[in-house]
Amino acid sequence: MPDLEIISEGTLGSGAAEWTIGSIPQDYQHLSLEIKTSSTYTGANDRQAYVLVNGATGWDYGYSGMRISDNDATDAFATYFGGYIGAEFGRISTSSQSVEQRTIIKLWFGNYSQTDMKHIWLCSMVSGNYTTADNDCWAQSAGGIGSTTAITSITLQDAGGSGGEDFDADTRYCLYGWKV
Amino acid sequence: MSHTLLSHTKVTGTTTSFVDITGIDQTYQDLCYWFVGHASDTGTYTNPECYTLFNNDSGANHTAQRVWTHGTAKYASNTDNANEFWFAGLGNKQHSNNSGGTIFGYIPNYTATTNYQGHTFWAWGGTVGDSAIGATGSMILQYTGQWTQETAINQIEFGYPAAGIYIAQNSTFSLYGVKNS
Repeated sequence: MPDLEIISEGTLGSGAAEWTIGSIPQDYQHLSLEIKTSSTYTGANDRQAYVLVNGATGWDYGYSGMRISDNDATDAFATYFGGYIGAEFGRISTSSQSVEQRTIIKLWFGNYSQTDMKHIWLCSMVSGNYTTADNDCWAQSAGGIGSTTAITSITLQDAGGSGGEDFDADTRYCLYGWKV
Repeated sequence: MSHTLLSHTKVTGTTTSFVDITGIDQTYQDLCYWFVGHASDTGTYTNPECYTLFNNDSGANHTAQRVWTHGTAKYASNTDNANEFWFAGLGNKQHSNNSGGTIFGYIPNYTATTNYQGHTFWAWGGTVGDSAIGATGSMILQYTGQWTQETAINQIEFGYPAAGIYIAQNSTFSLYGVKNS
């Protein structure tokens, strides 16, 4: 019996500034989440994106990361628990230069069902544009919430969920559970 | 491709310096592991560094490249012929305030004995600090290590080597075997 299982997978079907995977079963130890997406935003080459958990929309989150975007040198970004409303994990590609460009994202949520430590997650993401070179991005990051409550839902948010900045309709995801 | 749990440890004591997974099953293609937790100390170390050994080898056989951050400061380093794989600090009880800092590692072809200059693996890690000390308890790490021994890996050790620093209670280490089945 394999100890890595698909919990859920799907395609958004319509653009959304934020979307949620809810009712996550609690009988796994770890989660990993793979996403292929882009932003419909046209005002910039890439756009910040965030993870929120358990529907918490307060100033509960912190993050730490490094990124390369738009041909810039590596940048580091961080804030502490309570420093922001959501955990930025990097910048996803937009429709500014090509509506066909996509970002691939992998997130790791260790011990998501434990309730004895504040929850941290890791992210690795990358995108490239085959028509122009300055719309590429890469990021490694960690996000966290200052809470030990088990994670039962994960929300992805495009640039704070503001209007006109949606995850594209063809956004695809797959959530895995790791047993122990 | 399937993953099979080979070992899971949850630290219950207060003086556990490392976890040591021995007798690793040799019938898989690759290994991957999760460490979730932090160091126990509340002292002057913002982020005491954690380490890994294969096959209990503490000889000068460990080469690595890594990039990492502490807060908004960036670092990169290369190490040849070290005595262990040093990752980076993953927070402590004071500065990461009981955060489940995470390292995910992947070790391809761990049973091979004819690798080119040994075994290469990679790992990602990160954590977030608390508001009391700002962002300096936060870090992110990308790491590539090379164990320059052409020996199958049958043991993995993970811990904190500094005196008086232990793996915090409730931290976990999970090891999985990966194969095509």
